[in-house]
Amino acid sequence: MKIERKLKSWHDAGLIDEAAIGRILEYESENDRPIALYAIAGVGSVAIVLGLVAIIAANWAEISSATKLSLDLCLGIALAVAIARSSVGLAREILLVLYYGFVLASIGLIGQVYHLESEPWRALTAWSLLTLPFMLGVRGSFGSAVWLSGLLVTHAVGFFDLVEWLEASFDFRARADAAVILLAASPLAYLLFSRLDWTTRNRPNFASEFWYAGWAGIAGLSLAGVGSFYGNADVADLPRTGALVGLALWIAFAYALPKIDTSLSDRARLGLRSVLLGGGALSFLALVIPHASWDLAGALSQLILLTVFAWASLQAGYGTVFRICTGAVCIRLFIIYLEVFGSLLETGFGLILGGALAIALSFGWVRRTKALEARLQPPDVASDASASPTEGDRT
Amino acid sequence: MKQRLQILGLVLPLIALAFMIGQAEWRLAHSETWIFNMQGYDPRDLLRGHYLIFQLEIEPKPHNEEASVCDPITDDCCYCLTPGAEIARVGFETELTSLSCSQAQTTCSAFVRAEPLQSLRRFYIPESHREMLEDRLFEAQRARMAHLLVAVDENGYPAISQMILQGETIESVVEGAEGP
Repeated sequence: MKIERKLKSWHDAGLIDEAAIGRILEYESENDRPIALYAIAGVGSVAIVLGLVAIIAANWAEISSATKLSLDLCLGIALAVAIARSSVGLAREILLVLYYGFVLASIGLIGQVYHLESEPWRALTAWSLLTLPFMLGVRGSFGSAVWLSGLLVTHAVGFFDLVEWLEASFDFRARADAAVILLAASPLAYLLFSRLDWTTRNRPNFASEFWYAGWAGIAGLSLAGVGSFYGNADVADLPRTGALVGLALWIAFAYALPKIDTSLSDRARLGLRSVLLGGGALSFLALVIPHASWDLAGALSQLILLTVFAWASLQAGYGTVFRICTGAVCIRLFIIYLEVFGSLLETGFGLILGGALAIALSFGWVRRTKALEARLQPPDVASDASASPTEGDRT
Repeated sequence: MKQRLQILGLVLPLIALAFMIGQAEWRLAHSETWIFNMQGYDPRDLLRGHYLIFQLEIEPKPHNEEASVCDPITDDCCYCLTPGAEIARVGFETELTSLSCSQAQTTCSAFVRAEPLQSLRRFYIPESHREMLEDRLFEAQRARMAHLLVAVDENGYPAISQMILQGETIESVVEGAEGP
């Protein structure tokens, strides 16, 4: 809906007067950003990168290898010169994203021309390291998101290849310990980078996106950790050392949180600490207690964690995250129904019950979320959020 | 100073890419080429179509009667390379003798490291000719006329040089299919 229509409906409802409408429109026109233009340019640059990769993958036969490689280097030089001559803005942002994709495509082209065999992590790590110096120059949210995505892919592929390498070199227990420690430490690295003095001062988009990615990683790992209740775990299989070190890392991070982010309010700190400590403690239990397939414990732990995440996001002033978490609680409840009464779905009765539950959960979520948000939200969070854009804007 | 660093950051990937090309060219130029038979391929690969998948026929003999053939995955394993029987229109088949890499460096006139040799599996092809080339590879394998030329440098590291199907390079096969 256009803002003019919104303003008119608020005016008709007696919420704002003509003068306020005038001030709002003036402010909006001064601060208007061409979001559509940014989006189209972003999609265009990603399309060009994908096109480069597709052309290289097609390995067209008509052009000799030497010509392909020469053209590739010429394109790289042209992009580098264009970036060096550009000033900060949308054009530079697009050129940087193109150059980022170009480097990956070129590594692929060289691998193709010389039929090189190597593990994917080597190519991805080389790409991430070679592009690091110029990608640190990215300022916009689109470029930051592209860079973060590239780093996450490199990180994930590198992690799986590392575990595979450990498999060949160490026994199961040592491998599992190492994997748990690396997993626990990974999101902390993103969070620490997001709160470096340089990042917060010079690259607020990096700071915001890495911060979110880090907390999403902690939430995801906690849910995956308690998910291990679903499988059998003998004493010999349990990565107890890894779980202990991982928990210690998260406790240390929770303790150091006020120093890492000095702008956090007391309530935000409490919420984020509860995510770290709640997720860490439940995952720790799932990874150190020998168990059979404890499906109920797994399901309940995930429900508890989602509830903690929802509460914590309100404390931190992240309204959107709160709604996502409460939505996830509803979906998780429905999945529990499927897990417990899944076989009933083959009967008409089970289908009716399942359908009724799904409708009730969605209605309940729509009707109750806002009321719950208002009830749980501490009275000073709204004012905190509006006073501190670094928190309120993160939603 | 800041601008110089920015330019350095932009130039660094280009230098690295040029270095990768130079290294690959240098390796091919300073290597000896050996011929290996190829066995059947795994058609389940999701990216199949952009490259031909093959497996080298590697059947090394032990270094001496008491020794056993080393394991490329777990052992420090190398193969001595010697020319074997002649293959019409291609060259000489490669015979392999298994021994440790430290022994191979001192006793063999040419040797290859076993693990990187075993991991050669893909030969990139023009996507537009994938079906024809897959058929030709299959035919050649059945006739035992599918060969891979492997360039091996003085440190025993292998790199794919060329694929020969029934005496023809892949480029010749593609040119033949496209016509004059």
